[in-house]
Amino acid sequence: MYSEKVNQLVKRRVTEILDSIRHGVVVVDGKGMLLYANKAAAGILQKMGIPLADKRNIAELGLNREMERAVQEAAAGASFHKQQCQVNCNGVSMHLSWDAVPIVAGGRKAGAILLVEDETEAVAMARQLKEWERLAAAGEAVAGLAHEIRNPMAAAQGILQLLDLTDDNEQRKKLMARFSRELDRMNDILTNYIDLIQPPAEEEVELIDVLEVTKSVVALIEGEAALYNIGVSIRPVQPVPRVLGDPGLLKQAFLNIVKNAIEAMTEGGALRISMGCAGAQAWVEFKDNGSGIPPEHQDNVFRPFFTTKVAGTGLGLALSRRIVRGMGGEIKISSSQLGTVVTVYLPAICQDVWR
Amino acid sequence: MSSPSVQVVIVDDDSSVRWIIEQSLDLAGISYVSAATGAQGIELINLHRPPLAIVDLKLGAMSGLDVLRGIACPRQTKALLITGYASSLRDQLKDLPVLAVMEKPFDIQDLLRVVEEALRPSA
Ligand SMILES: Nc1ncnc2c1ncn2[C@@H]1O[C@H](COP(=O)(O)OP(=O)(O)OP(=O)(O)O)[C@@H](O)[C@H]1O
Ligand SMILES: [Mg+2]
Repeated sequence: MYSEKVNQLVKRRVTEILDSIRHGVVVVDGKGMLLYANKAAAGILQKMGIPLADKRNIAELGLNREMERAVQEAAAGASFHKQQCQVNCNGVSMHLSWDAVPIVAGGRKAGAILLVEDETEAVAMARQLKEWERLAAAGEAVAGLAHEIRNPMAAAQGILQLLDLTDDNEQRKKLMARFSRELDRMNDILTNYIDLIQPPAEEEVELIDVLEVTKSVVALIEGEAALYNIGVSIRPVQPVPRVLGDPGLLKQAFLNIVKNAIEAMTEGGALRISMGCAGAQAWVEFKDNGSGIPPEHQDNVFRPFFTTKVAGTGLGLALSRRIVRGMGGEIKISSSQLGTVVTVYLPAICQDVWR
Repeated sequence: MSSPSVQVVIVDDDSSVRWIIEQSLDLAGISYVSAATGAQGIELINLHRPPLAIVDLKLGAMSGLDVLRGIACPRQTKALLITGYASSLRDQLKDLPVLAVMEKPFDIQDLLRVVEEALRPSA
């Protein structure tokens, strides 16, 4: 019969389509009897050590309990989306993601579809990537530390050798003092470094008035700024942004930014600080008209130990960013030959309370 | 003609390392001038054209290799590179006038040995 032929054609086409997708598709009726499984499903089940061939009911498959129950509940009308599970079979662990949804035919419940995807490789890949990233970051940090700390080490070793060559007591005293300075330097480098990688010990979280913190930072550098002929201004706003965190840490974060601005304007200039609130976000902007950051350095300025200064440690911005991120915020920098704008974003505390 | 008085140009942004190298060269009676930045280093090397430059690999924004690339007369000036971390450096040294690479911390006797070798008339 003609319609029979069409039916078969359609059926074959659907089967072909289902066999060419990478998702496993298993169809059961209302009693859990297996009606259909595509190639991918058979493949995944086989990997799990389950031969499909002689099985009649979903319960015989020995799927993981959660999946099996979900299929039964789906046949009764429930839906499960984007579920994840890990199964161990023959000593191999597999990551599966799956859906179980009811089939409704002619307004009646007619069974369930189980969709399974084998994500083992993707999960392994993501893990490997994370591990590589972690190792790369650690390697970079350690290389930076090595560069930094071997300077005082080189000096210290040389000083010891010089000590060996002189009997002059005055000279020896001077060398000893130098030696102890180099030890202090090694210690400072390590302390800075530990500050950078360790969470601050006892954070005192409180409601911070951002304007107050900014003013206290400006008070610290006003003398130096005047020396270089740099005008510093704060444009206050109403209401003043308030954020949660340790005010001492936030002060440190702002101070590093402000110091950089001053150091970029040794020929004089202006540092303009403004702040405000946009919805649940507070922002503080530090705008200088100093030397600017050349494009090729802009990606590097947050990297620990990156510095273009003779006496810089290169830890200022790295520390600032750590502090700000610790408060749930972020720092953005944009720079040109005309100067640099550093903007700190922080989660703001609801303003209404303060009006 | 280059000025005959300067035998070595030291380029290092770390004042302590600079100091210890200066002390070592003083001990051996070798004349030198020092630079704290890469740019200043290039300037001094091209001005004095010394037989040897002692250059730190990591100089803030500029690298010691940038300094070597900035040498106007690489036949005349050879370099002793010093570094805190020498890994994967070898490939980058191709075509640069590098005599030796020395890792920090270094022995000042070793340093002087390399320097004197480089300054020997036949070299
Ligand atoms: N406002 C700015 N204008 C121009 N360059 C800047 C500015 N802020 C940062 N930079 C560049 O970013 C680099 C890294 O800054 P960072 O504060 O991390 O370290 P540093 O200032 O070099 O050293 P330290 O903070 O320990 O004194 C600086 O050396 C400088 O080149
Ligand atoms: Mg800084």
